[in-house]
Amino acid sequence: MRASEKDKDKSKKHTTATVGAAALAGSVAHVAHARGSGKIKVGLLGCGGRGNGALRQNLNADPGIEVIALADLFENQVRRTRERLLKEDKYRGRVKIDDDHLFWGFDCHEKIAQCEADLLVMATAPAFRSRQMMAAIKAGKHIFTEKPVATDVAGCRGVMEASKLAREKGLAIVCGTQRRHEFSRVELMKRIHDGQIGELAGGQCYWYGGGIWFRGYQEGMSELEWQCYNWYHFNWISGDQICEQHIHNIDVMNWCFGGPPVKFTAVGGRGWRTFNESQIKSAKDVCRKLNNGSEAGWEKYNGDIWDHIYAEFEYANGARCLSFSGHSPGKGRNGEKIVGTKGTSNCSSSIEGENAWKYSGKHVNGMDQEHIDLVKSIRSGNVLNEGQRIAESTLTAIGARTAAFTGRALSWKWLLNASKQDLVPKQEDLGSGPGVFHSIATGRDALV
Amino acid sequence: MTAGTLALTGAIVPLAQARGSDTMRVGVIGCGGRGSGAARNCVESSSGVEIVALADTFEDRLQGLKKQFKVPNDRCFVGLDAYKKLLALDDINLVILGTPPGFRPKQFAEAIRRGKNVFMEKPVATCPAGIKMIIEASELASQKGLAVVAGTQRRHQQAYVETMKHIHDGAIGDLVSAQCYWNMGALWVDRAKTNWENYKSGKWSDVEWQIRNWLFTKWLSGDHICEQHVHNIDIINWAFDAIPEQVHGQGGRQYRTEPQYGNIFDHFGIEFFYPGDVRTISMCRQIDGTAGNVSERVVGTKGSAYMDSSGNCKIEGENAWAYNGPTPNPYVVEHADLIKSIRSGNPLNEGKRIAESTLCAIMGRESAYSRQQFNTKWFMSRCTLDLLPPDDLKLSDSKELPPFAIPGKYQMPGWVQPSRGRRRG
Repeated sequence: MRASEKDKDKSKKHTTATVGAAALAGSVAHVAHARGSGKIKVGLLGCGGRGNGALRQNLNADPGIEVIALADLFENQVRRTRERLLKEDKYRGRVKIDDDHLFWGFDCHEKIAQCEADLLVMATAPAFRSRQMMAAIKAGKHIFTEKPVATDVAGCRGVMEASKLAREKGLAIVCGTQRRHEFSRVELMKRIHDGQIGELAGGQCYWYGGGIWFRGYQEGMSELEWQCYNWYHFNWISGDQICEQHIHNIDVMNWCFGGPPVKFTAVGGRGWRTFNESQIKSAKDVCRKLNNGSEAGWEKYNGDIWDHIYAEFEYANGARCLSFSGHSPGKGRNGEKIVGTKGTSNCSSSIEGENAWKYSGKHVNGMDQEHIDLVKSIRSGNVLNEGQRIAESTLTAIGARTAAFTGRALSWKWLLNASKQDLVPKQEDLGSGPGVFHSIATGRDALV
Repeated sequence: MTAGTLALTGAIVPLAQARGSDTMRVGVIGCGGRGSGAARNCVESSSGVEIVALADTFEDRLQGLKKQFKVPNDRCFVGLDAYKKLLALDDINLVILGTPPGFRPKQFAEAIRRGKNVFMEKPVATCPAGIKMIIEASELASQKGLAVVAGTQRRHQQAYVETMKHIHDGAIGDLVSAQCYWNMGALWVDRAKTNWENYKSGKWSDVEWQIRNWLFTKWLSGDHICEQHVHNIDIINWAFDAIPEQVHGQGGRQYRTEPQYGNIFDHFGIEFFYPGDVRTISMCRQIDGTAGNVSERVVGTKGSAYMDSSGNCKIEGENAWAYNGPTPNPYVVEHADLIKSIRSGNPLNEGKRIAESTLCAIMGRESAYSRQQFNTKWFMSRCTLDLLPPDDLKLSDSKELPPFAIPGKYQMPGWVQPSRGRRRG
């Protein structure tokens, strides 16, 4: 049985039992509200592009959803998001955000967790997700969270704990790996798990693209705030591209195999980013603004993520799969292929081989459907909980990254149980001061 | 048999001498570590083998073999054209080509033109222009009845040979996936440092430094994917009995970044697409202190085969099996097979095959340098990369080492960027 099916199944069993217990704790009050056909109050944590998109997709999922709170690291993001929402006719009467429900700062997740929202949509930079999820679950909130859910091993463990607690409390966690909610893929995976392509013998997944924005300095930001604003370029905040972006495809491979790999080997590096002239220009500009006009030491502002990782995942049945990711000029690729002893599949809509098949049903946009599935599950009381699964897929990406950064071959068991990798500063150390900069991985870094 | 026509050209004379139990009179071109090793392996492999002439760019490099085999001064040739002088000797019927791979195509072509049987180290070229030259010369070798064996010794290693028989007999079913690796630590660390000091101090010219430091010089070694990982790629080609139709790769220079390491990468990850859209993993790394793995694995519908050069070769699945036969030294066996084939009059010719495996490694490298995906047909017909040394190259020449490749800046000769919209995910 797949991990997600197991989760779903367990949460069904737990629902009745936990309602009683949770009611005693008092934290279930909002959950109770969300059940049935009443209003669902939602708060948005992370008011950037993806957060604004996810919030609207959430609102579109059910007419009974109202947005009541916004939170972000930056005040202007929060205010701008409310202004724009209020202007949209589509959501008239459903945007009810009072001034005292606008939160900003490094502790904004703690504040929004204490408001009366039933559901939080999470879309800040990935580094902070693990503690945000724990705070939200402790406060009795359902969660929609963007992927990935962590940037280090410690963060993944935190999400696994939060997921466990959510199960005990009967709270939903759905994650923005939207491929899991596309009807065509769901149908396809049933067939793959039924053995239609035989035993899985190999596979490939790819996300190789042309690059990503590099954000300059905005007036009034501290160094750490700028770093969080330009978050993609710092491994501790984004988890690097393999974690932030390629996780989608990695998650599909894990879906095929019904769990994460048992072993990782990888190579990779940072070629193009180090020599990318427009990015260097921006980094120098940031350096000047933060250092009284001096360009000395600009390199640290150029980020520390790599631009390519080539990883091999070995799954429990011995199958070895390729994960091919990165950013640079050249050929772009995005997708997956799974290979079995009786056929192959594009992991999306068809099977080739002995049991050739092509999906002919309805196509849905997974980014809408994931919210529909979430809200339905909340209303029905049979909550979805994808927490453990997304923590595993995030850890899969982190495992590949760690194998590449260190040049070592790693086991899942070691990673999960023995690694001390902990990149994100403690909550109390996050303030409006200096940034947190690490040197670029060498390909033979110490294994932690 | 084409002996009749060939006899007319006169080139058959040394070959005729080699038949039967006649002495193999061997010339060694490239007397460094591998060339010397190959010469000793050759002598050990069969009776009636004599090392009778030597050639190397550098006098210091041929001293070891000269002493060991008491080769007289007038049969030791030094310089960039030393190979031509050696190949002009009529009494030599076998040559060992062990110079840096960038020199191989021209030296091989000359050897075949001169009617010599050839043992040549891998890889056999560093660019598609060189590959074409090797393939043409190999065809000529066939016409002339000359033997060509390449130093991909796994092809002569019994454990591999037996495993491949099982694979080709269908023991693991139809092939659906494969992986090959050459992941290792650092090499030539001290040598690269000394070379660099000699170069920076002005003792050596550009060309002398690049040749003495050839492993780290793209035009000479073809980068480590070509110089070393070609062994493993060759095994996958052998298993599929085909070469890939397409390639897409990545790689870089992440740890070994000092200038003494020339212009090569320290890691590659390549995806090869074999006929029927069977996609394979190829990974190689030379970074000190990292996890090592030099092996191949082939996966079929009925099982999988694992192979490594220690002779640990086995099949898992429906037809489980493990090799437990004798394990003669393949570096010696390849010479024994070569000489046996010459003496029996059925000369082996591995020229085209090693050219193809080298080509795969070169394509992987160029794909990683440029981050472009392309097919083999395109590469062989349109890629105009030509790294062959000019005929008038002098040891004292200035020849700037091109920078290592940076995607977006590296221009693969002949590549035209297809016009299309950017893909989104």
